[in-house]
Amino acid sequence: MNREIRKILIRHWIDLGHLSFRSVNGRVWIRGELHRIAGVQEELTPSLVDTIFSEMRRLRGIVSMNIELNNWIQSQGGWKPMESEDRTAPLISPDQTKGPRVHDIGPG
Amino acid sequence: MKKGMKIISIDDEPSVLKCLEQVLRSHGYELLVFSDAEEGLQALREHDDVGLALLDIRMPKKNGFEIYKELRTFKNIPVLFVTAYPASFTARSDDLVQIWKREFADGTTDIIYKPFDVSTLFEKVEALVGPMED
Repeated sequence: MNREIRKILIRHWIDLGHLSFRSVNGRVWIRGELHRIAGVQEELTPSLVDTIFSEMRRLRGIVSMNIELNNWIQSQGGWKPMESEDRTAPLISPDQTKGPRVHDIGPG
Repeated sequence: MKKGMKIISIDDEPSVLKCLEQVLRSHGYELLVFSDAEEGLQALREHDDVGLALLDIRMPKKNGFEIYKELRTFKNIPVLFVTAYPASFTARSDDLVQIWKREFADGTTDIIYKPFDVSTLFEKVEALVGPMED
């Protein structure tokens, strides 16, 4: 299931480094930010975001999906980009303070 | 995935390797760490039971994408890129575009950006290799 989700994200040029997901018994949790990798000409649109998650929902074995994005929000049945003032602290970011962290040391 | 699964990590920064070693070992993984790309690749060739490779991208001598391409010629295991440089993944690079379309498309490759919290690291590792069993 995780592999199939990853394949969909890759197909849509989504930057996996800003997202995290897990699946247990057909239940999927996705969190983070949905961005395309740099240099992809076509930007993400509400309908594209909808397409991505629709493709995931159609995967065999999916029971439910819990999506918590920091830069897109579900509104009136569709997705819309979050305005900067609506955004909370990123779920996966350098500013995150929960738990021990592996710091950015060296050239990476 | 069985407890004690072997992971190979290649990163030129010893402090990052030490940190990865500590946190992954504490969760039951066996971690082999290499700061030299060639040594890491050699270990990947020699160990048949490696379940996951963690690859830094910007390294002297050989970068993570070069290691990745070489690894894929002899072993098809999940790979997690561990990097501080999101800009490394850009469609402006023909090389990256080729890897993305040809190799990433099979869904066994993921990316984590430094710095990261440990829970995200485990989430990504488990999503690649499956949850830990006794």
